[in-house]
Amino acid sequence: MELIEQAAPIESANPIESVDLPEPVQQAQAQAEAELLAEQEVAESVGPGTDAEAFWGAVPPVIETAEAAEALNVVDPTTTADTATLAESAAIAAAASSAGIVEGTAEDGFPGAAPGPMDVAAPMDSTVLMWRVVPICLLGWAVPGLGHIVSRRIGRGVLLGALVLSLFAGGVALQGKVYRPIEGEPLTYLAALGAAGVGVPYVLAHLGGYAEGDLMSATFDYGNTFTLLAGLLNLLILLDAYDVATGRR
Amino acid sequence: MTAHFGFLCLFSIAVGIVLGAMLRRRPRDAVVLATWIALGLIGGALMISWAMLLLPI
Repeated sequence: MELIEQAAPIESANPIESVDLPEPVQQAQAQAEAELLAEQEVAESVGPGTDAEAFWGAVPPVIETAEAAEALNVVDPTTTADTATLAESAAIAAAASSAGIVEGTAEDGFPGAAPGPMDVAAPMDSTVLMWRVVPICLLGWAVPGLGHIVSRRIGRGVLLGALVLSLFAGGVALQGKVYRPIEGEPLTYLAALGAAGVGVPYVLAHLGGYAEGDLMSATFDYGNTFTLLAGLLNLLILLDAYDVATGRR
Repeated sequence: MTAHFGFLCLFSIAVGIVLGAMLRRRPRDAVVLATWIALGLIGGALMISWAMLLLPI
């Protein structure tokens, strides 16, 4: 009993309870409290239990048959949701969201942030996957950040795209070369695959004659690293764009 | 700018920003993670470079 008395001030200091709730939520909360009070009155009418029951709450009766469950008017929690519990959960979630405790709204993240962890993405069939995700990934590869922008993650797309394009342009400006596959040199295939991850700028650099770099420049190696890094980072960003397009984030 | 350390910082900051923006939803958390990643990369490179002095080469 001392533990319960000590816990009481902590419960009253809960920040969730100090938030003004909307009227429907208040009604649901009041209904849940009324049902809880009714249950406590029933428990008091039955008589005092053991100390363990007082601390942990009353132990529910064991129901072995469907007839017994029907007689006790017990709802199967596996098939039907308990309305009081749902109302309590909704009240707590709304209070926590309005207090800024739980993430889950677009306003508290990047512009157009992904839904929160409590949201469940709907399953996506193969047709939607083909016509929605594949174009987004292709756009994200062709122009860094465009996959996010198309998926309405505008802030993140602009930031990541500007960063990747700046790195690539910086690498070219530092007289670095943009890797291309060379026959007989297997490592250049890997390097070209990584650098080609930047998309259209990779093609433009080759077409415009900026891909060879200047071997005698002091910043040649730095430029190589930056152009390669831009392509690899865009491939990583592409994976994130895929997750965004499929609703995983 | 031709200093190796400057390019190392640019590299680390770029990687930190990308990973921070992708792995964290809230901008503040993303900035914190990006800072830690950038500092970790710079610090790791400095430690490895000093440790290489001990190699018999």
